[in-house]
Amino acid sequence: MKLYALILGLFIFNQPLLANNELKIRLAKDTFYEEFNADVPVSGRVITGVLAQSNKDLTQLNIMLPSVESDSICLKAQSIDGTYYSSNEYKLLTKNIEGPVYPDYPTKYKDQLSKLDRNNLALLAFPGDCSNNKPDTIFLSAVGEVSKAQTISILVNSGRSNVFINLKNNLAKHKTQKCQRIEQGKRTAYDTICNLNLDSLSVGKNSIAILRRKSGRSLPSVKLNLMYRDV
Amino acid sequence: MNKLSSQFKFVAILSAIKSGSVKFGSLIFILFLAVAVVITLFVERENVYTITGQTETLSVTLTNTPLNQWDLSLATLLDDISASNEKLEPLPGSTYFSPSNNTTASIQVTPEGKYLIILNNSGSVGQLETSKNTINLPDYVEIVLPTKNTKVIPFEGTIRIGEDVGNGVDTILLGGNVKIVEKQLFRNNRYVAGEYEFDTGDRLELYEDKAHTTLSKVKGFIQIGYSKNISFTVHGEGKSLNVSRLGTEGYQIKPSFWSRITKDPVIAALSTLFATLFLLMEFVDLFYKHLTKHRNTDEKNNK
Repeated sequence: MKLYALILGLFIFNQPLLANNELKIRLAKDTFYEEFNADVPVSGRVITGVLAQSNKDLTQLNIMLPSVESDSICLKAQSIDGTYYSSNEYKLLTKNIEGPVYPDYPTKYKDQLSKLDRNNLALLAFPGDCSNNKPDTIFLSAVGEVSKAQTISILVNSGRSNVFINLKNNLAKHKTQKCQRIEQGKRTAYDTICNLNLDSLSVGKNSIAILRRKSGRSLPSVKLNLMYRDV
Repeated sequence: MNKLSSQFKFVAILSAIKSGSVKFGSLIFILFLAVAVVITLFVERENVYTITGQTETLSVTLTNTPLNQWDLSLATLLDDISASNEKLEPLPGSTYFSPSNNTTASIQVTPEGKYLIILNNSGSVGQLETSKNTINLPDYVEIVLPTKNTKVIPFEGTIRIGEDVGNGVDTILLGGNVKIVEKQLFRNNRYVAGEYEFDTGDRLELYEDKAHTTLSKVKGFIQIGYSKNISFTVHGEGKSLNVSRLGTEGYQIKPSFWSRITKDPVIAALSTLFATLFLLMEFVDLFYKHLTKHRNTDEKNNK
């Protein structure tokens, strides 16, 4: 498992080569912002990541971009133990780009990131700049190529509450299912995974509500719109 | 006293070697003994971890055994989260819960001081048996225990005690300790190989392997209603107890090599015995040398 994670990580962070028809997006600023230490502050944001589960022959980070008005995208990454955090804005040179885009990711911490196991790095991509702490529209990110048969993971910082996910779109209405608590290791940044089958998402807007039960009471639900483009 | 005794043994062995009383045969014997001692010290032994303390939360993954059949008389049951606002009726008296295998029971104290059990499983969490009927439960259930009575709830399964502190975490381990009780060398008796205290906010997991992949199966019980928190006592065999602590890498608690030397009564008795033997050997040797020296002097004088 560790060997697989290592190989996976090396593939992710060491292979910037892209096919000619693949679109790479550049950082909006000259500097790439990331931190790796034990004192990285962890935000209280409930949704920490929305990403597709990747398969073995993946190459690098990508964002499944639907047609959007915004000319910039924010991509945040955070490790489950809270030690790694990055937040960077990317410029789209032309509006209404569709399809997978490949953000520049010149990290200094390739070795540390390559040791992270699957689901131990959360990616969150949304339109606009990174100062928005509660984005309501999210794009699907992925570590590597995405195929239709895969699942997507919504990584939730639930504060050790019990989490349920409700998906509402053209295919499914008010379908509520339980999420899984992560029990192994340190869970500073997030502690729960909500899995959805990729084929349960409809093209365009998918309304997702994260429901939480804590201490015998329901906490306010957290809503997001996952904008999805067919793979 | 123990320190003095160890120093005494060490000095005895050293002086025996230095004085030349230890001959080649004896050196082989000592070498053999040293190898035997090292092997016995490093051989895996059964370690029972006894963990006690006070917590606001713990979770047990249950097995379907009679020990896990809990009395839930007069508890309130919520088996549909969409109906959570409705006033819930308490369960009838003589209601017993039988868990399905791998049902996780998260037991916690709510801010209102209620004792809440959250049962979770991929399938049904189990069954409720009342005097009238049997109710199959869904995959997620919340149970609030009546607070007026004190209660002891036994359990068998794998356990995680406390929560690692993070944003939104409000139920944690308050304190406690672990005693590692190890099997004595060559005997079925046990001795306390170490005792360690926990800090508030620690998270504890007992593993049955060194790689920390499988949690140990433990038996234990919780007491509720005696104070506003949950008291727990857990016994289980394991290889190491993993302690997660905010701001640190965490650490593992396991019996050390030195605790076997200093605390195992059999090893302590054996090392005392051998040290005494070395001293005796030296004494006999000195006595023999003294005698032969006098005999030689007498013989010279006689000549």
